[in-house]
Amino acid sequence: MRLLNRVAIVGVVAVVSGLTALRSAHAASAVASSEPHLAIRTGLKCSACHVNRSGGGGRSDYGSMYAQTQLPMRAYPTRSRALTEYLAIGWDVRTVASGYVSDRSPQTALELDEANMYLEARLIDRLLALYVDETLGPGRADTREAFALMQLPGSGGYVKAGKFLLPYGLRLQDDAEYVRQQTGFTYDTPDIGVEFGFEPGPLSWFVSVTNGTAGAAEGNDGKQVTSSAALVFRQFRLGGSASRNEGDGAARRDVFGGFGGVRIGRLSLLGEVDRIEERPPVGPVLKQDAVYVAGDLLLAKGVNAKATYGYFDRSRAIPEDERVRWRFGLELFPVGFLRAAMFYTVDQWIPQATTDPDRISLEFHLHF
Amino acid sequence: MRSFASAMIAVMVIATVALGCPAGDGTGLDEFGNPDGSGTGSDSVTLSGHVQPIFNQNCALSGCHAGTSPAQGMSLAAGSAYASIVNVPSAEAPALRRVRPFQPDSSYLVHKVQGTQANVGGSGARMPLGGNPLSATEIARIRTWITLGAKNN
Repeated sequence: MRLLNRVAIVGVVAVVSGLTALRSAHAASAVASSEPHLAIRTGLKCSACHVNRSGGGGRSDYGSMYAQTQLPMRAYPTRSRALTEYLAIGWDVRTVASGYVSDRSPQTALELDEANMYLEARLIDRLLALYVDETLGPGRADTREAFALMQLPGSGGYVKAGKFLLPYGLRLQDDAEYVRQQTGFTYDTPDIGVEFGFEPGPLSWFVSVTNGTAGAAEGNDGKQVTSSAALVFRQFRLGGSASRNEGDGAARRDVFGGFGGVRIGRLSLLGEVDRIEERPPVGPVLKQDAVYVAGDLLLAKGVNAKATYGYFDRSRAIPEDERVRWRFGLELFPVGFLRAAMFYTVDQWIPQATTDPDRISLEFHLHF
Repeated sequence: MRSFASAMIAVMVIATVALGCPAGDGTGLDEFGNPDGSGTGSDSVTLSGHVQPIFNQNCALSGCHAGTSPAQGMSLAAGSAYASIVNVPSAEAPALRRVRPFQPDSSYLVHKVQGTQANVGGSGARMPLGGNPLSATEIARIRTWITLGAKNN
């Protein structure tokens, strides 16, 4: 059975499940962090909590306060991210301890997964701002995002110019998910260009035109056009994304798909389906599919259980080559600024292939 | 009770998707997930099977990108090519990596064999130095390997 049939079945089940549950839905306890499931749980747009209007990276004043007061089990007096009237900072520092579950030689690792610092200069209040997202580690320092953000008064729109993450799909924190890694829209692939955004009412619509070189120097005359649009309501959201990156000659890479989420009481369900079409200068088109489904259950304030499923069809022309990734875990937010998490990750592929053994990881995440 | 009901909904939805989209059983595929006996399809390009032979014939030669002192510290010999190029910053164009998985246009190695290195802030001659340029098919094969994730396969 191929993807479209599967998606049809899944869609019917999801709709039936959603309608059944919505009848008895109650308001969920509010929680926020830098994950799309929290936007779904709160019914807010990404721009409510992040300086980057399409999500991810540094938090807004609202997002910072929300994370300090609503996220943890126990709230302490808050700290403002504003250093001065116009200058604000933030950061994310994430360390990961992981180990393989295998009969083979044990392999464990302690890694600095992320150390990013954010700086926002509000040059003209509610009109013009400068934003920098600097990666301090691992490895050498690098600028992940650096852009000027000009809001268009009265329209709910904005123009962004500089280096930024492209507006595509769900901006999951886990770049290893297939809908991130295989589509090419990860935290490692910001690009240089301009982005326009419009957010009237429940609509969030972003369009960017960039070099299409993942932040490196331009290598051809082609450009990458990426767009994402979503309708965001309190109980659910639905959206679609598309991107075309023109290469040399006839070469190009098209990615398109849909995403959505629904809140059912304490449960947040979200998913994304993408088609990737790679057209090399010569030879046949490579068509791939990537799927992501996740459930996040708020067990108590500051305690979140998570289960994710990822699916990747490496080539629609080749049967039985699909790959699957499972992830189960528990996230704890004991106090503000701190997230601790434990995950069990399973990678499933064809029996004759060598895949990573199951992996246990512990995350320690400081955020502000 | 509400939490239990919510958990059951989550399990049902995710399990339904998973049952509909399981991992492949690998019938007719080799250990890299490519069809048995295949060799040239754009969806079956591997480092060992398709890209390394190009390196061996054109790049991993004595005095070039092989041996104990390879040019630019970049050995393209079998067994060491992957570590030398994938996600390694380019010496000539530090803003680029030699090979950036999934991004052939952002991979300096591609520009060096295409002869477009000057367009991306690079320098030096087109590779292979002093030899015939790679054919369009060979370049396409390298690009496709990168597009597929530049795996060590």
